[in-house]
Amino acid sequence: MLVIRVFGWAAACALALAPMTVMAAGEATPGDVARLQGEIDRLKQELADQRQLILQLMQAEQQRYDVVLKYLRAGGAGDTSALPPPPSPSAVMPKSGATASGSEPSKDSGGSGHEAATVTGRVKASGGQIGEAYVYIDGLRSSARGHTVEIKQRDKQFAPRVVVVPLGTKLVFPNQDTVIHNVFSTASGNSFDLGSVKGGETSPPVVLLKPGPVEIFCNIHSKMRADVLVVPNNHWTRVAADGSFSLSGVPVGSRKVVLWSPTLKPVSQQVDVTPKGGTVTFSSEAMSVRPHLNKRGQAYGSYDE
Amino acid sequence: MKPEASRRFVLATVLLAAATGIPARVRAQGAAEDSEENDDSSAGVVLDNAAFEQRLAQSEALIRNNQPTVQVGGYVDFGYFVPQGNGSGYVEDFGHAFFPQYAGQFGWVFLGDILAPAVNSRGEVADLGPAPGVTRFDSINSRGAPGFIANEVNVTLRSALTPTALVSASINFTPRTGNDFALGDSFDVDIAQVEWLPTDSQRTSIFAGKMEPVFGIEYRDRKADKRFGITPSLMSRYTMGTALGLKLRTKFGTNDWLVIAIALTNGSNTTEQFHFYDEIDSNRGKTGSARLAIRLPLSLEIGASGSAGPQDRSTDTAHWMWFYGFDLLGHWGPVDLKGQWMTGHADGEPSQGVYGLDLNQGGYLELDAMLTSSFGMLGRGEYRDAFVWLGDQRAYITKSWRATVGLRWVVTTRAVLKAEYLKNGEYDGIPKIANDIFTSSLVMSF
Repeated sequence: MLVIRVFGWAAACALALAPMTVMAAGEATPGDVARLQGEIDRLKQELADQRQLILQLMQAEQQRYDVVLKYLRAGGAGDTSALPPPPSPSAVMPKSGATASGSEPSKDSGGSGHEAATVTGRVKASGGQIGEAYVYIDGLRSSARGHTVEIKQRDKQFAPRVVVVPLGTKLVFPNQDTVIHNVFSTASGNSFDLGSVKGGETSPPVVLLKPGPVEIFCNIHSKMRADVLVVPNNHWTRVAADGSFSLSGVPVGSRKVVLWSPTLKPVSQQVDVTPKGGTVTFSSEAMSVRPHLNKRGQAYGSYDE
Repeated sequence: MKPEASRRFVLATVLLAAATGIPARVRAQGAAEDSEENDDSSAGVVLDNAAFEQRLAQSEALIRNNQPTVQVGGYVDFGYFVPQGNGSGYVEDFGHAFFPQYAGQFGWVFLGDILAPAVNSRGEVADLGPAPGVTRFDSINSRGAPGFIANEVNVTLRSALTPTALVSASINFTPRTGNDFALGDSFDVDIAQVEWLPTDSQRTSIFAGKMEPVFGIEYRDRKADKRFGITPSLMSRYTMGTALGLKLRTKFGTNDWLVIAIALTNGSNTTEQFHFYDEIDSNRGKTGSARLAIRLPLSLEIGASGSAGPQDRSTDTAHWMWFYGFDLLGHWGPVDLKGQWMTGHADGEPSQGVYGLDLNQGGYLELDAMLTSSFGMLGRGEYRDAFVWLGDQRAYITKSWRATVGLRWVVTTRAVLKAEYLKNGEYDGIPKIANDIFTSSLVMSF
């Protein structure tokens, strides 16, 4: 966002200055010409800086994709900690010229110059309690990359068991048990296998690259399960126990609002978000958690608990 | 247009382009600004992402489809043990000095527990002793000397017939001393089964083949790579053997609070080396066994088990062998508590060389605790009160207790080093026997 604001400012200056400089060419004093020339030179320099910045961003992103592809071609073996983190605009942004409003948008902030409003609504769950449920906006991308979320293994359970993370978040799995665990997921686009990890140790982080639900298990203990929802942007919120929710900072327009919970069937609705906001009511059915297969696609067997 | 004015116009155009075009690309890079996913201005980048996701899906499918159909596992169990005395767990009651009431009743009377000085998870003892009137395969035969031993090389094969039907086999190789130019090495198959989970809930399993028993809880830890310590309990000889037949195990209720397992097998769940085991049945009758367990709050499980059937190795069905007992299992973070009490009886059939048994009672209580993520220790107390006889030929009187302390060091995820000291004691008229033992084990899994 910082990049865009600087560009917008530079463009506005250019539009304002260009006619002035053309008109002033015939009448201006040498001092005016020199001042305007200096201004133009400064703008040219700024433009060059911004171009350089964009190139750096693109190169960093490309490098990261190359490494990820190389890693996958190698069969997923090796040290995933060697993967570079996703580029962050702030990481490559030159200090000079940066503005205070250049930080990434916080949760529910909307964060852009778009007109934003609040979506409110209610969830009705038939055949069960709402439990831990979340609502998010699909179809918008605004990553909050570089965050790290911890999912512990304790008493042969994951803690927390339900997590919502923005796209690009790093997950780490410290084993705080005294037994060995093997954390894995077969979720398409987000599959991983951390292998055997001793108690007291933490495996290399996992980066989730695709939005959607990710079920995480242990290949040794079949009753261990964590549900992670990877959201494509920062427009998400937890549904209250009474079924109500309020999601602020949603850009105005036709938006796809999605309800997700590990214990409810996922439902979505297209909602017209006007400057005054939008409302939505979800009806969902309780969903029983079915047994899962191990990382090889086989049943665990009745004694693997 | 003058050159200078032309230059200014070009500059203004460039800046205008910068203000309109380039930021769209920046947004498409996901630089924290909301963007519509179907925005045409980011089509190039979207194409890259789509290609990347396609490649990712291909890589995942490649990995999935190239997984081997048979999963091979197992371990090498290598140890060092130091026995006391001659390494055996019993002495002969010469001249019926200790139990004169058996004079004239049995030719030989032995005191102690033949399986007390165990050196490994198989339950093999340091020495079977100089038993008269019988030829036994003394697998370790240390004669009281300390020594290294390759306790077991285990190979486990596992494959899925379908996603809910698993075939598994466990083969143990035991390198031992040869005799008269013959190798002493042997192997045994302790698991050869299919497990089918027929329901969607996967809470019911049906087994067929040579499989683990349903009696008690110790069978779950019977293999060296699963056991917290090294040696099995004094009760394990009745509960840890694998038998041929059919088994059903199912769970009910919230958090599987009720577990029921029943089995119909050729013989009992005594261990294969023990003289009550019969893998291929010698009679028409079959042994039925069952366990009912309740999972209580506070991670506590209590169970009741029983088994009954015509006695193994007897060719008729007139002589029965039965056991029943209760067990306890608790799990609190790094601490596990395990306990078992049981009793049993076998009629015996001396004309066919079949032993009789009065297991008056016996049991153990074991506490396993991981003090850190790598170091743990165990303590176990147990006793066994039994009378075993073969016609009027021989009798074994056992009134033994045992205290075991052990250490466990998880060296890596695939290597565990363990050490135990077994203090064997006798009571109620049985003389003190030098049958304590120190043993250690390095279990390396693959």
